[in-house]
Formats: sequence, structure tokens, C-alpha cells
Amino acid sequence: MTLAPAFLAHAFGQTYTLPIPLWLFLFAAAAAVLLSFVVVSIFVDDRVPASAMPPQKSLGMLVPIGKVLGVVLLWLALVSGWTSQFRTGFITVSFWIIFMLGFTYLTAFVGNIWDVLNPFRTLIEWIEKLLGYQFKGEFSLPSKLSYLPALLIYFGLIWLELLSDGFGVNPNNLALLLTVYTVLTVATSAIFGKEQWLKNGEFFTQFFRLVSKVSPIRIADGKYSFRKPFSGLLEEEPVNLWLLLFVLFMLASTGFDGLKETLVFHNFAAHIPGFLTNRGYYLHLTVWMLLAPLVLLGIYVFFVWLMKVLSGTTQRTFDLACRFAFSLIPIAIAYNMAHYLSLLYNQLLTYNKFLFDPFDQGWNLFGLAHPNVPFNQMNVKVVWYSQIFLIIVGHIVAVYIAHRMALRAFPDKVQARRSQYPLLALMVVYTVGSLWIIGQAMSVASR
Amino acid sequence: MKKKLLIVAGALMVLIALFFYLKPQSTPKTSSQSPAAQSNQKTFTLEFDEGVLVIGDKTLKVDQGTKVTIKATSDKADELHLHGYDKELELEPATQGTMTLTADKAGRFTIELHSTDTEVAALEVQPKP
Repeated sequence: MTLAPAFLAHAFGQTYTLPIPLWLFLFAAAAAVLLSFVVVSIFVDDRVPASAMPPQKSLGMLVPIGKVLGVVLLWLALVSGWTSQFRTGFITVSFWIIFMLGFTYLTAFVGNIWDVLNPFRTLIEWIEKLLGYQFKGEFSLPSKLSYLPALLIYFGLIWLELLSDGFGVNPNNLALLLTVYTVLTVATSAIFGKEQWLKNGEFFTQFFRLVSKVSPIRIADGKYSFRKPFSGLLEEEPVNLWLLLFVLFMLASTGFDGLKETLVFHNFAAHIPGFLTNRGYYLHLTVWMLLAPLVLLGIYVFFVWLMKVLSGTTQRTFDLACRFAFSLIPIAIAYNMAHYLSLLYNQLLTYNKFLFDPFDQGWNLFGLAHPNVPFNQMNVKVVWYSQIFLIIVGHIVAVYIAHRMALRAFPDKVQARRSQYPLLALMVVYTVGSLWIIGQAMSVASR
Repeated sequence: MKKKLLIVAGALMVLIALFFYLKPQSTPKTSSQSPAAQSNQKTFTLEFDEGVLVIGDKTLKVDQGTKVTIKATSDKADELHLHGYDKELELEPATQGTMTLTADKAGRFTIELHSTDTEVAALEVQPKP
């Protein structure tokens, strides 16, 4: 029988958070609408001159240390995963919770640490040295396909996390997948070139680069500099549909995870033939997961089209859709934090037993583990208020960033002002949608 | 500049007022009926057949501090597990088992049958207002 701790038996499906009460939902929705107008009226004609790049400082010894650390951590996770005989373990919590949630939030605050840690890059560099051959690329990835590989990997990862029926939680499977992914990353880098693949194809490099745009610290190429918080979102504009979809999936994947647990969705989906069987459940949800970013894309493009009509610009709707895409990143990160906050907290409390015994040997390294931490969950009200706070802050930032983007996209003052309102409405739709999902009653899964 | 500050201050005041307007009253109703200790008890009866809940609510809703009694029956030997509170109840075939607890932790806690490893119900403990 399983020796897995009961709290992990659900592939992290355990939700200890109560849905936010209706009054709090109404308050937060009203706050989002009101504060949107406050932001627009305060910054209405603020044309912030492009600030000169602040001086960049070298990270010095942190770069080589970070590189080795990245490879060591990957190695540690893989060895732990390969040798594990349990259904869950060090690699499971480390990868899905500490890395995919905790490290993501850390990146949002302190910048793109992945740029230093990136074990794939380091491994490739070591192999280059070993072979005496530079991975400059034998073929170039067509620019139309840029970011498509990263998007597809993103789909695969979320599927593995939410819909693989526990497959992705099993340490052996996770180690196997990570090993295959590492080998594939090295191989594709050899084919398409290291820089090209890491920038346009590899998922983690892309994901953390986008998340780090909200951080007040810019980290790139072993150097760091300070900037205004969130101003990183204005530094570049996405170039194609795949990157736009990638950003939308950052929001859609969390929304999908939230929605699929609700009673509303369950009652609706129960009418679909085959949904209530185990296989049908995962099959249907896979389709929903793939549709989720397309639904958001539809809503997004509609409001961008409205913006085009109202402002009377001659720019194409698609180009405008690309230009404003990064303004959604703050909403996506804030909603992700709000959604996974209590899960991260629960898992951190019990993480020490994995951390100080990564190979399931019964170790208690340095005597630091507290194996019997009593289960505890965050105070419900703290969860509720922090969820509301995060989502509202994400919303305000998004509205402000979209405003700055509009001033840049429309040199004409009247045009810029008119373009605001459709975007503002879009942000309200996304924000109230996220709030609505965290306010929905949960279903007890019947699979 | 002054105008902007006024807008922000005004908006914040509206929001604070709205918050307290919408927030439910926290003063408990001092009704003459049943003393608190009496009303703070709740019993749920669950019945399982082939690992599926056939009788009883899927969501057991209580207020924080309630003394909860869960009476469960299964057609075959099984084990009921309440997450979070980490309480287990061994079930003998066709014999009612009883689990009691004080719902002092607010949150949503799933109830699972070990034979099928599935969630069969959830205990939702609403925080005290």
C-alpha cells in the first residue's frame, strides 16, 4: 500500500480554501471598477519620458555560483525522483510547488534569477566546451513559429499538473520526463542554436522572462539594474500570435484550474456524455484546457477591435492585440498568487521533511527537520483578504500599464483617451471573472 | 496635484464605506432561544454503496466551533478519512461508525474513502463572522 502522506494523495488537488463570500466578491468587483477610473483620471495625460537605461552592474561571482547551483538542484531532483519508491517525494513538491509556484513568485519580486540558474544553458555550455563546438544552430527556427514550442510545452506542463490523473506527481515519472526534457532541450539547441532555442522555444526560460517583467530588478546576461516596478512590461512588445497565446494561457490555465473545481462547472459538464467516467473526465477537461486560452483570446480581440473602432486608428487589430498583450501579465500573476497562495503555504509547512531527506532514507540532515508539523492552514479571512488584495493590485497595475501602452501606441491625445475605455472594460471582465471563480462553491469531484 | 490627491482620497473613502456597508454584522444575535452550546452541535449521516455516497449531503456546512458528529455506513469494509483534521474512521460492513470532532479550524476539508481514493464529500467550516 501507499506510504504517501495523505495530504499529497490528491496530486495537489486538495483545496483548503473556502470560496470568498458574495459580499466580498461584490466589494472587490466594485473596487476594481472604481479604481480603474481613478487610475485613468489621474494619469490621463501623463506622458512619461522614456527613462535612460540605469547603469548595469555585474553580478560577479553570483553567476558561476548560480550556474553550478542550478545544475546541482536539477541533479538532486532527478536522483531523488529516479530512486524514489513512493508515490510522491522530494522532486514532486520541489518541482510543482517550490519551483513552479514559489520560484515564480520570487521571480516576480526579485527579477529573472532563472537567467543565472538556468541549468539547461549551463549544461549546453559545458557540452560545448567538451566538444569544442559552439551550438550556433544548423537550422534557423522560422520566425512565424517563434514561441510556438514554448506554448506547446506549457500546455503539456499544465496538462501534466492538473489532468494526468496523478501521473505527473509520481517521482519516477517526473524524473523521467525532466530527463527527457533536458536531453531534448540540449538536442534542439544543437539544431536551432542555443540562444535561439532558449529564447523562442524553451518553456521555462520564456515563462520566467515574462514573469520577471513586473520586477523592479532587471537581471540579464549576468548583470543587474534597477527599474520602476512593472516598467519591464513596457520594454518590448510581443511579436506574434504564439506569444500572445502564451500570455493568455498564463491567465487561462489558472482560471481553468479554478473553474474545473466549481459546482457550476461540474453541474454543467455533468450533462456532457461520458464526463462522469474517469477517462471521459480527463478527456473532456483536456479539451476545455485547450479551449480556455482561445476563449480569452476571443474576448481580448473583441475589446481590442472596439478600441480600434473607437480610436479610429488605421493600425490592424492583430497588431494592436500584440502591442497590448503584456498588460495582462500583472493580472495573470496576481490571480495565480491568489489561487495558489494557501496551497503553497500548506506545502511549505511540511516541505522540511522532504528537504532534509531528499532520497527517502529517513535522514534528518543537520537535525533541522520537524517531521511532525501539525497540519495547519492559513486563517480563512487572511486568505480571503489577501486574494482580494492581490487581484485588485494586479488589476490596477494592468490598467496603468495598458494606459502607458496606449499613450505610446496612439500619439494623438484624443485617440489615446478613447482607446482607454475598451481596454479598461476588458480588464474589468478578466478581473471580475477571476474573482467570480474564487467565489464559486466547490464541487466534490465525483470521479 | 491637489486634484489627483482628492480623487484618490475620495475613492478610498468610498471603498472603505462600501466595505463596512457590505460586511456582515459581527455582533452575534443575542436571541433568547437555545443557548450557544446547544445550537453548536450538528450531526450528519452518510451512507455509501460501492464507494459512492447514496444518502447524505456532499457538502457538510458548519460554523466554526461546532461540535460535528459524522455517522457513516458502508456496504463493505472501508476507511473514511477527513483531511486537515486528519481523522480516520474504520467502517465495518453495514455497521454504523461515528466520528466526532470540534470544527475549530475554518476551511474546506475533503472526506475520502480509502478503498477508492476518491473524495466523497467535504466539510466546510465557515469562520466566525
